Amino acid sequence: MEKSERENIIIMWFLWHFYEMPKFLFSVWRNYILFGLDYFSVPLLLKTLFSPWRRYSWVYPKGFDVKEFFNTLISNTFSRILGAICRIVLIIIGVMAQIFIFITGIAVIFLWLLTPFIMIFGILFFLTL
Amino acid sequence: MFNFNIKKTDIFWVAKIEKFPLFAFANFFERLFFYLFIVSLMSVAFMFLELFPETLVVKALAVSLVAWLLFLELHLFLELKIKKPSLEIKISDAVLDPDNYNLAEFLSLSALKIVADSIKFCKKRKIWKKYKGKK
Repeated sequence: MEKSERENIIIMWFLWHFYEMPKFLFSVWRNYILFGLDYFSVPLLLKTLFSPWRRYSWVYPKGFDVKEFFNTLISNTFSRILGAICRIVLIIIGVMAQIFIFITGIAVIFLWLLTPFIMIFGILFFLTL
Repeated sequence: MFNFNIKKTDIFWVAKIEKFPLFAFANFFERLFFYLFIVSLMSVAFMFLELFPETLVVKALAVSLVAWLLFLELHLFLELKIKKPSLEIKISDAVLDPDNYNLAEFLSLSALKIVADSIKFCKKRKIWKKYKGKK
């Protein structure tokens, strides 16, 4: 109690509003970004962009069989193209989500920091009307 | 005898602050002004239809926004900062040497309220004096 009574509540609020809460909001923002990266797996999708779709791949013939060779080649190529298309769609969605998280995070932190100034500006605006 | 004094704890100060009217009604006013802000935002449409005067709508918007932000700030400050005081002493140290530590420091806010009410009740009914007399 002695410690708290010595602590000025306005200084306490000032430290909380301009230091502790932005720090907390930054950690929340960081967690959302990490969650987005993990949820959409963008780095992994980029690494495996041209991997076959759902690991569907066919084994090439052992002997000299041109028809079967090209059949397998075309099937594997299509599997890889299909995989790339699906991954590109997911990467685009993931990147858009990351952009949204990034912009929302900045906006929230800025709004939080600006709240007291918005209040002061609002009061002054009301008085001048 | 162990040391137990609720009035010398940080959480007692929190309980006192919580009862202060500005903080006590912060949650209620935050909600009230939020709804008023929404209503005044909707009234902007009426302003364009020239059903409400422009200055009235703008003033209502400014007042409700400022009041909402103010009470939101107070409510969050109470809930996230004041109600979570940091305890610098360890319960393990206090258990080993209870005479030199105020054990009431380890009470939560709700537990402190219960203890404070119990003490008040005992003092009112003079239960404490009866107990002391028997001893």
